[in-house]
Amino acid sequence: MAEVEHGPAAGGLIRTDALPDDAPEWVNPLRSSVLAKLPMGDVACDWLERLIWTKARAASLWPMTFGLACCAIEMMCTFASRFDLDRFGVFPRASPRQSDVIIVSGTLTHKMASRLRRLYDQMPEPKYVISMGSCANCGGPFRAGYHVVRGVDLVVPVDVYVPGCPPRPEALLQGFEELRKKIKAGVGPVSPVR
Amino acid sequence: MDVEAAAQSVADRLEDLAVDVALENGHITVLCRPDELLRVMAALKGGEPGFPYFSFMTAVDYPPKPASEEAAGEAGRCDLVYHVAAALEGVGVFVTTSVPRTGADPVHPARVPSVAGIYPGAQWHERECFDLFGVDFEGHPDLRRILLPDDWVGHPLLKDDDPSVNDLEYTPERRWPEVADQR
Repeated sequence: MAEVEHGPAAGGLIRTDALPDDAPEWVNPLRSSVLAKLPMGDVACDWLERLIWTKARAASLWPMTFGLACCAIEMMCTFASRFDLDRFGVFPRASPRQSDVIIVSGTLTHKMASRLRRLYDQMPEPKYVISMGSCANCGGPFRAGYHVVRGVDLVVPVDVYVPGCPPRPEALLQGFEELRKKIKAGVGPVSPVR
Repeated sequence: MDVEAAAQSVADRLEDLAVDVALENGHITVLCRPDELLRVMAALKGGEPGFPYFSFMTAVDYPPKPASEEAAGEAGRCDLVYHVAAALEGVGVFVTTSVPRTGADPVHPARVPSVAGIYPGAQWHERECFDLFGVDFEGHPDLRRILLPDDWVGHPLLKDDDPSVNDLEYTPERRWPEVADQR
């Protein structure tokens, strides 16, 4: 396997920085194919990655539903027939192992924070986080409470913040659209510095 | 059985035990001393109508007031409110008892006998009350925290509690290391 620098730092999209050094070749079949050994093979791989992997990724985001409070009701409504996220390839999963994105919808308490971090760690790369609602964004109306984490971006890196208390289903739809834009542009998780 | 007849029955049963039995806005309310609490609850559970269903319990905290120039200081107290119901008759009874705050023991600011021996359904309610108010229920089989993390310090619904003494895992100053790296 050629020593090619790719991933977010190189502008590529496969986060090999998260892979162990002794990862088997099937982890990244494109980079270990004949194509990568040809002249200009790296460039071709970059191009193919951008074309295939990102479009496929953006077109089929499987969210791990992490419903914590009333925002979860709006999230369920977004999945249901009226708004129907299935038509965008967004298909809720109950296991972190099968998920690409985790929707943190609701108030995160300090007791729940370690559970969120564990579920996030169990998701395979590449993974994305949507923070849904004021509580998940910053603590919301419970920010001054003794038991509330002041924003889930203290626990996991957040890609998209969906404002609202709770956000309407259209807002969550737009959140997915913004995430799709980020994936297609190859932008990694960015949380604002506070 | 209508609520007036139930109130009369309760008043007859608790004649020697309770300080006061009243019917207020359709609710039967009982006021009793903490040392009579177990006998009051046992009398309510048996009899006709019996109140076998433990709906909920909670506490109200009145913190001690230090003496000032205008007024003398007051010792704090904790009011414990129990609600038991007769589901078939559709009537319920509020039982209120008032216990003093013990200033000497900051971990357990108040102490009452546990009613979990009479109403097993009260176990989790009393654990919650211990968790948030620190009330020590004597005779409870398993009195430990139920909602807050096990290593939490203090009882946050007490008026004079300071939750900042807790060593929190995720704060703006102290976040998950990888999250900090990605900034």
